[in-house]
Amino acid sequence: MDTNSRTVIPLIGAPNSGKSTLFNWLTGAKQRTVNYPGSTVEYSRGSLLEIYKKPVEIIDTPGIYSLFPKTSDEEVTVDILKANNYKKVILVIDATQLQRHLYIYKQLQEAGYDIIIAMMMTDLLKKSKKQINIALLEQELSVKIIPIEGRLGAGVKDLAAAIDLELGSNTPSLANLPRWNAEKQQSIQDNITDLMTKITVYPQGHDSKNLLDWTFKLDKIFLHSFLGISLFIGFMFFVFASIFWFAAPFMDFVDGLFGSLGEYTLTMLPDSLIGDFLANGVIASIGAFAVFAPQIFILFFLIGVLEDSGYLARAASLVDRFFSKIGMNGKAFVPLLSGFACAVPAMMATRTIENKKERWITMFILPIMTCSARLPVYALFIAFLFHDNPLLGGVVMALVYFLSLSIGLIFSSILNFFIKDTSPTKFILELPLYRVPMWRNITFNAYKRMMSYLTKAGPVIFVLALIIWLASTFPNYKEEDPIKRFDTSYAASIGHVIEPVFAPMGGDWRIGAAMVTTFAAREVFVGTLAVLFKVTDEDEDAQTQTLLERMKGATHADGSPLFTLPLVVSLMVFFIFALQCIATFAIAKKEMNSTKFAVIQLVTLNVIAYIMAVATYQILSVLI
Amino acid sequence: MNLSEIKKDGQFEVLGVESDELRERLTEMGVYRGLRGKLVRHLPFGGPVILQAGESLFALRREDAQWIQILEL
Repeated sequence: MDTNSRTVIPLIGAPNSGKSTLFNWLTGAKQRTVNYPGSTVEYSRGSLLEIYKKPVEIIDTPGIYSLFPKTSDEEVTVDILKANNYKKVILVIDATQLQRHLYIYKQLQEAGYDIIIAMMMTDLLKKSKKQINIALLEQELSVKIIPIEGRLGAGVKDLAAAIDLELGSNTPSLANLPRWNAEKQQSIQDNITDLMTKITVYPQGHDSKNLLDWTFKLDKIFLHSFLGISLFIGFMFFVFASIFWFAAPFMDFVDGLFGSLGEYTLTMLPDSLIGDFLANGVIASIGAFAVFAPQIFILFFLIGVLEDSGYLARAASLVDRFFSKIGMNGKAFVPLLSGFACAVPAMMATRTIENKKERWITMFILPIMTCSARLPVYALFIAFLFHDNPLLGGVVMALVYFLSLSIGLIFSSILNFFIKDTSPTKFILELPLYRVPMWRNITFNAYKRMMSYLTKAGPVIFVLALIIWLASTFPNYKEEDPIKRFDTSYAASIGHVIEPVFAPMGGDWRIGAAMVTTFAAREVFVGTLAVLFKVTDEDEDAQTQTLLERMKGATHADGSPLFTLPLVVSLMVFFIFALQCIATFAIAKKEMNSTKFAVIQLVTLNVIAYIMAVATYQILSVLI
Repeated sequence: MNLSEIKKDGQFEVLGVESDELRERLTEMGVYRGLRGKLVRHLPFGGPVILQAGESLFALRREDAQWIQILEL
């Protein structure tokens, strides 16, 4: 259906007012919702057709405090309103924050929009000693208000029913809305204050509590000078270590599954090229990378819990002082934390940072954060080094995360020293009330991220596996001896050409080939290694060995072990610094609106990665 | 006096904000002249101050708080 023939209605509201939650309820889409101001930085579209059988398209927008934008995420919303001539909007208001959220109502009204108010969190309001006379408010503003319960969504049906398809005769114009001066802003706030006095009631004998009671109690702990900071570090450590701790049984299961699948394939198709390709090419590489899916799930789940509970705004406030010393802002904390999942959404999340320099620095160091695509690589190496001690493995994993964060912060202070910019910077953040996380949403979101990890990299790995298998099997595919066949293959010839580049960091040509493929996607590394070591292994039993076992047996041409401590550490160092991600490059270019920025970032990080990896290998080789 | 000078648990009324840029954003967020609130706590190591006004909580950098003129209640 042509979108023009439908009514299109944007959801507008202050940050953290519940737009994304409402959007999901209205459209059935599973948009990510969290309890942190500014977590939606891009708009999404959905339709009422599926659930409410109405030809109405709904647009979820980033939260705004004002129609005169101050940040890039606010600009997204205002630009959508300016570019389309919507007549109606749904204004989303948090009932517990009514006074503050009415400010945008006044702006939308002056701009001439036909407004329906969706009042979220009315269940919370009911528990409060303050009550709102909604009928009176409707009358005062002459607007339709639909109360909606925050956790269960009762009232959404009424909202869908209240959206009539008729378009009014009003012609709102945001472009012609005169900028409000100080006097006007103040008089609007005075006006709202008077209105609030009129509609607020304090029912007698109402058994209720102050809404902030629990939040105050928790803040006493989480924002405490000593306890608060210790817990902050503890939470971060726990998140990163548990990626390793909790995932083990699931990973063993996936590993076993692909192992048996490979064996089964070989029994079904013995001594055939196709069987060899399927088992040693496709199944080995997909298995090597699918094994890390449980860790991706755990990472996103735990970040989701921190976000949804309301803790992240506290964490951002706690680090602001320190961040401001090194050229960033407390608001950089959430992008950096998301950077541990993936740099792409994290770079978009920097839109909430107003100051240009602070945003520039945050963008620059983001790719250093250990993203989930590096997780398989580190997990493989850590398992290789600490396979006998999984507890220690978890600790080392957390240390790797802290190391990447520390390196990012060191970069930030260096950049801060060189970038001279004195434009004003500030830190104002509203702290949402704590709430019990919405477990279903968090679980679903983590599941979705895990699936996208599998489906995004899956095809790339399949194609690469095919190429690598072909290159290492041909041209002498009739050769019976696998070693001879391999030594005369295309892959070996190409490998020997690139070998000198990776020799200073201790790698042979197989490591080199695997490194080259990581520039398609980092997580491909383990898959490539799996194929290369399977087809190059001299051992007859190799077919049943896992990648880890095969790595232990791998040798240089002269017979000395390949995966020594210096090599493994230098590879990890390379992965900490290197920017091997096309998507990150593209989004950096787009967000900063600068090819120069993206190129400088790409070149700088990769050159530093190579230098650091070589230095690490050389120093460790001398020491050990 | 300004907001950075008030003690923990001190109640205040906002008299004005001396920086235009800061004033506009604060007003839009709901911190405006005449607002009554309470300073809930100072975050450690010279970090932001936490303000409460009604059911809302804000974190505000201490340097920014200096621009906000208040009347202690």
